[in-house]
Amino acid sequence: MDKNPLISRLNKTVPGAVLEVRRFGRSPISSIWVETQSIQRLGEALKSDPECKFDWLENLSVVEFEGVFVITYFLRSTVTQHTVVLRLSAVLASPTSEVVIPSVWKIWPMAVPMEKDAQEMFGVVFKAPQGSTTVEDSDAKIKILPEGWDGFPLRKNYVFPKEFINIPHSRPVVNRAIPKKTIQ
Amino acid sequence: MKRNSNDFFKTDLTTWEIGPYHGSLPAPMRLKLSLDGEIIASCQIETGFLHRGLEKACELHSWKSVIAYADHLDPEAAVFGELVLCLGVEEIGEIVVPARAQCIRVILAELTRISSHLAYIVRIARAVGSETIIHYVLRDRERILDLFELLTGARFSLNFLRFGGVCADVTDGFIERVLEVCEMIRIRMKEYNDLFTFNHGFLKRSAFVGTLPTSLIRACGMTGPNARASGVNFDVRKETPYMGYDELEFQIPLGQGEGGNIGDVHDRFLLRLREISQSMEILKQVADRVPAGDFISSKVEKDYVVPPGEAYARIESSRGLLGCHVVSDGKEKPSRVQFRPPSLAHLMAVPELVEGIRIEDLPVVLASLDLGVAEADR
Repeated sequence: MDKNPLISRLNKTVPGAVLEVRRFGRSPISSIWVETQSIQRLGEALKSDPECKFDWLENLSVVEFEGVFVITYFLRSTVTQHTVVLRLSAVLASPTSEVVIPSVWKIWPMAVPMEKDAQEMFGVVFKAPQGSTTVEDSDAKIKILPEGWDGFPLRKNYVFPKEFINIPHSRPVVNRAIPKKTIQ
Repeated sequence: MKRNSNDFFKTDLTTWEIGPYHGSLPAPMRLKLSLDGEIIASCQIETGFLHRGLEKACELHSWKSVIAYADHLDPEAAVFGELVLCLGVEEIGEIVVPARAQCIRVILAELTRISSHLAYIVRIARAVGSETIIHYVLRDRERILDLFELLTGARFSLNFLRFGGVCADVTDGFIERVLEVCEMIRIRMKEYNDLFTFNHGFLKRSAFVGTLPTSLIRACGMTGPNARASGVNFDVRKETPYMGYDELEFQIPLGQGEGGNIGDVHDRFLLRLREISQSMEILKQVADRVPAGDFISSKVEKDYVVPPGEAYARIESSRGLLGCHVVSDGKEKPSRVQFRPPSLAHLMAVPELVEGIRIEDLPVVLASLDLGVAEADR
């Protein structure tokens, strides 16, 4: 039996979905590593959890560590003020391929711009359940990159284009030498 | 007020595209409107015109340089971007910020909040066509920018905060001048009210217009003054206090619907005025208790490198909850700096909010939301 009552409840509702529980950074908040394909069922369980009611996806962040994407969901309850961090990982098959993750926007509608952002900048595609509308159907076309932009800029292996629609890109921003490894 | 589809005139719908640059828009964005007579039947919003690759730039530069980039997240309220980044790094590095530096940071943050809210008044006055108040407010906002210049040497993009404190100590007479400006704004607030707040023309344009329902606020995850004007009592300064806000006495104003509905354009405007008053209260309290001591932590020296780790910092900016997920792998550049700007949620609410309003109210409703497109586009 897990000491954390929330984890116990999650293990009962979605068996096998919780992989590991750690502290998030140096904060007292729990970060729950979950199985990727269970994120939708876990999200529903967390939103309807009688004691925590995680009804607000405050933030969604994607971080790349050597070809592995870590997707972090910062959840909060507007009722109980509880906070939890959900995390899942996805391995990149090839440097240019996309990663497919189940979408949570049906559970937390505020996920729409965050998922679209991750899709454009990282190539992480958030797939909605079959038959339901996707984030692309939303009226808020909150996008970041111009039409026709190639590649996913926030990936570590991203190579800056030399030009875009005949506008040369001449700023030498990559591998700029840093004079000191210090912070003053 | 939102209408049912049965309420429309059933005329042929006209399609209008406004933007990305247009006088009625508060910032670059494109609106695709479907109009039924004068009524907006549907709206699609498109953003991204101010994308500067801010988060990528943070990964390409040294930790120290990243503060200047965070500063550009929202040019109108630059200190908040710096502050949230510094709080994240300080959590990773377990850096204790000296009390004097905390006070200076709070002074800067609250001055920025007042400055940003004054700019909001200008935008909403422009949207309703009231020119006189614009000159009054801009004149007073200049006094705050003078204070920034006195302290940091810059009027915008201050680049003044550092990990573990601030760049420099306050100059002689700065605190006294902050109090003078507070007193000046307190007097001027009466002028604003006489001239504009309860002006018949402004009330006609703002009361009962663009009411934000609580359900839409929850669905989009809206925070800040827009949410509080609709009665959602959430402020990061109270819920998870940072920088010593828990030791200060101030109230979180909520919308009361004096002019019209709770959460309409007029309520959002009034709430900003009340927040300016509360910020002045905070400034007076902080000015009385600025302690002597260091303005930057002694731990952050020349050889300091941000250790491996991650943190998620959250603060109350002038537009709402501003979050920052910082990841360090122990090297000289950040592994990831991700911002959670409050305006992303506000933009998401626009299509549903403007549905059913008259086309002439569109600029007023957009101005009342205080959309920070620069921070949303990053």
